[in-house]
Amino acid sequence: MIELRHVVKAFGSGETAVRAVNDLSFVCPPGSFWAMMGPSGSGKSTVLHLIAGLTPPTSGSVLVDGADVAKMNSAEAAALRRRRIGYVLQTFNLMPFLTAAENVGMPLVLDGVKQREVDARVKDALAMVNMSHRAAHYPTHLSGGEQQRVAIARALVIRPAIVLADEPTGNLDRAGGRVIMDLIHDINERTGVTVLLVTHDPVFAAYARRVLRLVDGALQQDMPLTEESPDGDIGIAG
Amino acid sequence: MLRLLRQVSFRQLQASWGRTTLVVGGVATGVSLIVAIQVINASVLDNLRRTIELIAGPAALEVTLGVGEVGFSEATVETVRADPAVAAAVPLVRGTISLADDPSETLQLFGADLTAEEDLERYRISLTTDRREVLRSMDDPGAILLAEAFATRHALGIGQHLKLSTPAGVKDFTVRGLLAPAGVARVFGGQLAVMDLPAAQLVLGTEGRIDQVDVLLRPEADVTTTQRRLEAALPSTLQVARPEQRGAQYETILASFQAMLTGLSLLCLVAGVYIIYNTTSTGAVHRALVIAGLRVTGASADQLFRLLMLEALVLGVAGTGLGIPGGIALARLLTGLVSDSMGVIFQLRFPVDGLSIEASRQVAIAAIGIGAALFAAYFAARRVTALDPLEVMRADLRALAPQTGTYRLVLAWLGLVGVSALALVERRSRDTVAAPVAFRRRGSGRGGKPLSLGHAYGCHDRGGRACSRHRNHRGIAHREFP
Repeated sequence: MIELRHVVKAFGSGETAVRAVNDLSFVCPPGSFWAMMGPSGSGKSTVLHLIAGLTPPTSGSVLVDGADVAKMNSAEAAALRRRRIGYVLQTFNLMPFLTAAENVGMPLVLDGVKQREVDARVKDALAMVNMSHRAAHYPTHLSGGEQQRVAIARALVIRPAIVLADEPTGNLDRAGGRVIMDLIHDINERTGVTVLLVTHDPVFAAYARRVLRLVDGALQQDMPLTEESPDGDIGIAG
Repeated sequence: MLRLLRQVSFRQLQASWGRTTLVVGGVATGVSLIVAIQVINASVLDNLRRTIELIAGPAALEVTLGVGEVGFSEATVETVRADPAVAAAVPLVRGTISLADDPSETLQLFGADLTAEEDLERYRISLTTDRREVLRSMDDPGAILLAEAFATRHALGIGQHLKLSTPAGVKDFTVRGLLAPAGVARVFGGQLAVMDLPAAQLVLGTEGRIDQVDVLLRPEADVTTTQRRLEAALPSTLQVARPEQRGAQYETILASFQAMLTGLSLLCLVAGVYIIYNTTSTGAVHRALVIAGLRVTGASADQLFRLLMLEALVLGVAGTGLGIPGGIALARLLTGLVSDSMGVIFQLRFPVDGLSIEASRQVAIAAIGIGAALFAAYFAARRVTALDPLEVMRADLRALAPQTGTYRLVLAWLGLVGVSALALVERRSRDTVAAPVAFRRRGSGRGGKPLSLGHAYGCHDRGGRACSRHRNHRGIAHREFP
């Protein structure tokens, strides 16, 4: 479960201070698939950073499964990311000098998992995203969509409780984006992992069961969706 | 951490081989220069000490006019001999002469008191022919003893004549004996001639004057007491010192030159550190993406900082491992040149037979090289691990990163090293086996070309008039009066 309580994140100080997140509160239950939308600079990505412990809030609490991320030190936050949170980024963020399999296994290597277990879990993760046949390929030999699937496998290999996906379709065309969103949706359905998706695109936001709309770091709209809308419209419950 | 080093660092270093080469090359270049300068300095000093020891022989004290070749009155010998503790006082003159038909072939001329046969033995100048007969024949003012190596090189045998340029003009000499390559003859690498004292004084234009008195004491004599007594008895312009003290004097003189070389080597290390810092900093653009990626996937900033420092340690060790043998090789090429330069600048001419390589010094230099690599990497590692990973990934750093700069830098570095090495090898190939005395290039014997010298030294003539001593482009010395 993810819970934000009156979270403020300000950058800079004094008169030049900018509030990227402004008194934001929400509770995201386990197994949810939520999307966050909003214009550029509305604080969507910053919310993901806060949840992952990559940056501390200026005030308020960020709870992940009951643990306050804001009170964790750097090593504890890193351990949280290694064991509980899978992060998927728009730029894929694969290491070009490692194969797909090595990239997927990196969080386990960082966590000191034995190589035999790393190999087994990498195999499973790649199978989950249908990339087993490309395990030995380097990222430069993969298409954008394939690279993003490898990145998703890397997020899943730790068997996370939460997947934070920051514009995962941003570098892909519409068709490639749909493949990735289908995959994320399918994983959420199959594994029950909590997915928090940041996107600009209402078509992809429609995969989520709830959409938060942020403006200037504050929650402007909280829209539960009744059903997925393949045409891109967001249906609001009730 | 070692697993990360193997799986992340080594793979990335391999992928960005240009940057890796620059870092290792930067450390190796800096370390090799420090090693080379240290080995050259140590070798020159060690050989200087050996030379002074060989020249001094068993003498307990030396009377000299400080460092220089002006000379002092021969009457000083009698004053020294009058001391009850003195067993023998042996006067000596020294000078430089050259072949009349090849002024680049110079000889250190020793004028010793050959009437006492044991003088030669004391100074370890041994003769290959009948010693007694040779000494008898040295009464002739044109008689000269030549080192075997020199005589062989110029096809000169006993009884043969040669013309030599001396301060008194070109004169005819007769070879009366040969000096085996041992003792002083070996020290001067064969560029040695010995004459009887009065004849040598005549040739050098220093009649009645000597350069040095070697003092042998009676077995029961106390060296310090005798030294003080002689200092009191002799003019204050003369120095009475143990041979090793004289060596210390020369070492003091050499110290400034060697300090300059050491300073230059440290500057090279600073340049090496700068190269490492620069390459690690510019590489941080590429690195930042990988580091940010690792942060997002669960690595802590401290963990990555340790990884980067471990990586710097490995690169530092690799660079040092290449730099130390490289520095020793460089020292082999340069020691002769540095020794010759010192000879020209300080009027101290002696050969450098072997390199003095101290393991403890090399270990210390290795520590400096590795420490420099860690120091240079520290700041870049701190900076790159402190970056907000998501800010790094948002910026399109891949597009900003230079793609070809490193490759060109590596080529430039390799080119500089290669050109320097070729220049040294070419210079070395033109050098002779040993020509430590001459003001000329080492090597090639007759074909050796003279160094161009424009140095002038202050001096005084026998009447005390100020003059300046010059050497022309062939290394021939002459005095000029205002």
